[in-house]
Amino acid sequence: MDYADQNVERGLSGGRLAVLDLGVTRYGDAFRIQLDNLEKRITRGIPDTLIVTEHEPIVTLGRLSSDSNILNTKYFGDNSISIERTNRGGDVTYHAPGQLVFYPIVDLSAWGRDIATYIDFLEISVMKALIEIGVCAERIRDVRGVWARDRKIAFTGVAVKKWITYHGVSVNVNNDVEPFRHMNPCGIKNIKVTSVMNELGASQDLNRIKDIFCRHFISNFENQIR
Amino acid sequence: MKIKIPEIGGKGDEIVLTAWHMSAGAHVREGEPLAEVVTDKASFDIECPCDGTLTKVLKKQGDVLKINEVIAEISCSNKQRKE
Repeated sequence: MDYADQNVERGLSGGRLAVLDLGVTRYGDAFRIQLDNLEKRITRGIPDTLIVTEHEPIVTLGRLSSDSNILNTKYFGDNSISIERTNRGGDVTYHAPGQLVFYPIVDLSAWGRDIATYIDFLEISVMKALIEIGVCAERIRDVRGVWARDRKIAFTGVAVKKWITYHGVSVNVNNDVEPFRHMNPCGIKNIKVTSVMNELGASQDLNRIKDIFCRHFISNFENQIR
Repeated sequence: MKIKIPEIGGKGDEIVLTAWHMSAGAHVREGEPLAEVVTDKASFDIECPCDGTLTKVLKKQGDVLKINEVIAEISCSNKQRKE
């Protein structure tokens, strides 16, 4: 399936950050769409764009990941979950349907070319959306990601080419978090991982949750470049 | 021209040189990826600032770097070069 041809806009692109919702994708397909949009953004063929997707089950390793952070390779093999290396920052993480993944394709030239501020933007947008949903979300000093008390709920890992961003942040919503027990998520040992469903005690309407996240990304994005 | 690690934010972040895309002596073109560096959460391509020749490679893959540290030198052949 050629997701690029779908070009699904969800009607939230009234601001300067366009939204491209891919639905459920294979990781490799979404990666190619990211690269296509990245090249178009570099040549100013498209505006800053927020790609939204859910991935079919996969474990991904970032550029500095150690294989030793996958604690139980057999578990993933037994469950037909592939393991792939990718070119983002960050360490190991897991994706599956029910988890929302956001890949902003954004020109950081308007942000003072500050990657740390951009990662702050990702985490603050996610944290605000989670709080609106009812999750007691917070950021922890010197540790990246978004947390629900001592449980990690969102994971960042980005890449930058010609000061345009790709890759981004994933948020556990309705997905089973059991696979995270078989790795050191983000390279951190002995951490707990949670989801919106676990925090609120019920499965969520993913489209409603997606709209809330997109609204916060767009709002924070406009505040950032203003 | 000295090629430095740009101020990519996160002043306390460790920056690791993860890949060279060019070797010493290579002819380079402005905008081509020269090397890749990675912080805790971000990977970043350092680009050639001008057409020319990569005369010196001063750091190797795996080196831990600081902002503004010089990693290479390029002899620029074109008049306009990107700072």
